[in-house]
Parts: sequence; C-alpha cells; structure tokens
Amino acid sequence: MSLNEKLKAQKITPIVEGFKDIWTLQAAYIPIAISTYFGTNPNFERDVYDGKASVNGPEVTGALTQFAELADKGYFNKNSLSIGNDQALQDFIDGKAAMHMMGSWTPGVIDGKTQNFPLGFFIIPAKDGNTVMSAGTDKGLSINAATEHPEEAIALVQLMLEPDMLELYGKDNALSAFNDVNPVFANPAMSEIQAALQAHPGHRNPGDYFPPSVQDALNTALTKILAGGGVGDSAAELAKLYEKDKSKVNF
Amino acid sequence: MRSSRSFYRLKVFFVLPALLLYGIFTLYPFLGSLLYSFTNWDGLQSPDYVGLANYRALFHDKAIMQAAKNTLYVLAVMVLIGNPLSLTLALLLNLPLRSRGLLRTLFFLPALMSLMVISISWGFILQYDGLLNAVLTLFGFENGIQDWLGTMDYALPAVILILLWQGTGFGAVIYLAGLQSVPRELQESAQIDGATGLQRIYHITIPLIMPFITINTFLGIAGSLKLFDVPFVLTNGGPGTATTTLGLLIYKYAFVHESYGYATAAGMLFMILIAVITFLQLSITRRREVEM
Repeated sequence: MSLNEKLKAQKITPIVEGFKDIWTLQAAYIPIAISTYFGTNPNFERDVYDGKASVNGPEVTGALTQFAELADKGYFNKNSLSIGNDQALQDFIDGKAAMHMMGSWTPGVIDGKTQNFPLGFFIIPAKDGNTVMSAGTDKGLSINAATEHPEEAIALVQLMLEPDMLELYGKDNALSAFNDVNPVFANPAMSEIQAALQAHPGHRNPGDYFPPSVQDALNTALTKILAGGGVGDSAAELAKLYEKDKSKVNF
Repeated sequence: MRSSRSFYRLKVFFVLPALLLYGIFTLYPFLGSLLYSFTNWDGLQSPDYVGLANYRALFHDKAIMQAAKNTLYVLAVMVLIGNPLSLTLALLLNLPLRSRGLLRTLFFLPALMSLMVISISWGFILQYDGLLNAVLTLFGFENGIQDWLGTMDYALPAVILILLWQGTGFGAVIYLAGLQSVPRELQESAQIDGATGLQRIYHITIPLIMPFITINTFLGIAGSLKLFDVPFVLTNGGPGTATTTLGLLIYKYAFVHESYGYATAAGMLFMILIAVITFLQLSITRRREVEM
C-alpha cells in the first residue's frame, strides 16, 4: 500500500488493469485472494464445502476489503472498467502505469510486443503478512486403463516427469511446481516467478472449488467495488449462492 | 355437405406446415421449458423434480428484483420519453422542409444498424478515454468527465441514451406513416375554425394516429422488457448490477451459473410479466383508438 501511495504521490498510476474483459477481474483478485484465503487456512475451500468455514467468513471478506482498499484509494487506472486487457497491457508497456496484475503468460506476451522491457515480479502479501502463490495446471498426463502396453506407458510417463525432461519442457515456456525442477528463462521476470513458487507455499487458484454462480457474483461484486459501491453485503450474497449451488462443486 | 368437408380438409392441409413448424420450434420448447422450470437441471446431469422451489426462490432473489427494477426503469423511460420523442420527430419530419427526405434517412439510419455494432461504437464514445470526455475537455468541462459506463449512477442512463438514439428514428417512421394518413381537410377545417397548431395535434392528429401510438408503445414495451444485447456488449450488466436487465440475468443464470432449471423458471415468470404488461397496454391504448 505504501508503494502505491508513493507512486500516486508522484502522479504515476500504480496499477493498470483492463476490467472490461471481465476475466481480468480474477487476474487482479486472485493474487490478493490466494494469500488471504489460504494464508491461515490451507484447507479453506474444503472447509467451506464441509461446513467448517463460510464464504461469508474473514477469508473472502478480507480479500474483498483488500481489493476495495486498492480501488477506493485510486490505485487502479481511472479507465479500468472501460478498457480491455490488450489496452491495459499496452498502457503498461508504454509506461503509463507501474504495475500490472496478470498471469504468468504476460512476460511472453510483452516479449512479443517489445524488446528489453524491464519487467519484474513480486508476490502480494495478505493483510496479516501471509504469502501464498497461486497456480493453475496447464497439462495433465494419464494412461488409458485399457492400453495393451501399460509398462511402456508408465515408463514413458516416468521419463517425461524426470527433472531433466521437465526442465527441458519448461525452458522459456512453463513454470514448474516441483522444487527440484529449475527451467531456464530468458526473461528474468519468469525466473523470479519460478523462484517465488519454490520459496512460498502454493495453492490452486482460489475459486476453483466454488460454483460458477459464486464466481460470477464475485465478479459482479468486484465491478461494484471498482465503481465505488463498496464491499457491502457481497460476501453474504456469495455465501447464499454457494449454499444454493453447492451440488455443482466437485471435490 | 361432402364438398364442405373436403374443403375443410384442404384448409387443414394448408395450415399443417405452419402448425408443424409452430409445434416443433415454439410449442415443444415452451412445454419443455415449463417442465424444466420445476427441476434443478444443470445442463449436464439428469434433472430432479424440485416442485415449486425455483419459483419460490425467485421471489427472494435480490438479483432478480434489481434486474426487474432496472428493466422497468428502461421501460418507463422508453415509453414516457422515447415515444413522445419519436412523435415530435415525426411531426417535424412531416413539415414541408426541402431537406425532408435527407433528414428522414438520417434519423432512420440507426435503426438499420446492428445493436452489437452500435454498442461497440458507443462503447468507444463513452469510455473514460472516449470521444465524449475528449469533447468535454475541449470545451473546458473537465469536472464533468466520467467513466460513463463504469459508474453506478451513469451506466444505466448511458445505456438508455443509446437505445433512444437507436429507436427514436424507427418510431418516428411509424408515426410518419400515421401522420400522412390523417385527412388534410380535417386539419384545414380546424384551422379555419381557429384551432391553434397544438389544439389540432391534441384534438385531431393524436386521436387519429392512436393505432400507431398503440404499435409504437407495444414495440417500445416489448423491446425494453427483452433488452439484452446493449448491456451485454457494453457493460455485461455492470458495474455491479447497475445495468443488469431481466433478459441478461436469465441468460447468466442459464449459461454462466449453469442453473438451467432456475433460469427457465425465471423465464416463465418473465413471460407472464411481459404478457400482463402488454395486455394492459393494448387494452388501454386500443380503447382510445377512433374510427375514421
């Protein structure tokens, strides 16, 4: 927050986002929510499912409040609700803002648009100082149960999961969740993300175990916050939707 | 007797293709939707019967109430402002102006454009870095600059402004047809009797174009109630629920929340609402129509 305040004092827009695309709301919310949801309770979503925690609890309320603080203090670009991600990224590249909250594909996209762009990465802590890295899987490996060559298939999968092979696959391409796999990246920002993944606890993206209705209502709540409508009873509404559509959650 | 029966069969034969299409594409989906509205169908698994639970939940659904409020607000503005605006424009376009043909074309042009294209174009005008704010800045009104579509208070009025811009010309063309059917001798005799322009409009023109008012009001009400595309493209119903209409919310319930049973129940209630409002409107305006 103090970093944002310093930037704003120097008439620099701290964070540029393109929320018109809707999905980008989650790109800005996830880095905040991940540490708040799972910093104190790594089983938060499971606990919500089992009735031991609530969507209307301190985790979601805390994340929404932290997001609202950024919005209310004017740390996002003024046109955040009326531009899309392409425009936001271009504004970031053009130096119109200091930070851009987005997924790990961003360094590659920036490299495709410009050269030698000085890009770095840092993790956003929760209010209590906890830090958790969010991650989503991009590939899955499975063996057909009816295969005539199970041993060869297992051997192939084992070979593909060798650290050397994963480093080869990840080189300038993908981050790894394994601590003994260190892919080499030409873009230093990717190396910083990889180091953060290994240094901090990690968790799947928050919301993966919420019903679609809760995710949509969360986006609605975020746009309301950005428009100055405040957090209000958003978490209570999300909790109601969770109970209504809980059958759609698959653990 | 025999020939009348064969004539009846012939009539049935001619009606059959239309009846078949109506049955397949309207009646069958409608009855299917009615059945699904009593289930918890999520579009993937087999639906379970839940009785009236969906309908009961709808009456406690804050989002539905907010969307209904927004939709009725749009309807009120379109009927109470849009309709008189179209009539005024038609009266002006009916004057013996030299550029009348050109003006009629210009005012009707927005009605020919796709609402998607209109929404995207207006999005560029109304966005924070858009044309409107640039013009305001140019004329020294920096304090008036807003993110017109990203502000709770201005987003819905901005959507309505676009609808008025798009629909006024279309309504005016319908009224123009009505105005041209008003006998000139009635106007002239009223003028000779000393009636003023406003008196002639109120006592002669409006009663005689009442069928056109009925049509325009009906189209305005139906268009406002089923409003979907402009808020969908421009704001996705936001910020918050500021521009969420009933049509957009029902779409979200079905295709975003994957609550197809709930969405069809909402659709059923929505259909009843449209039927009641349009029935009331038609019965009120038709009563005021006069025969020539």
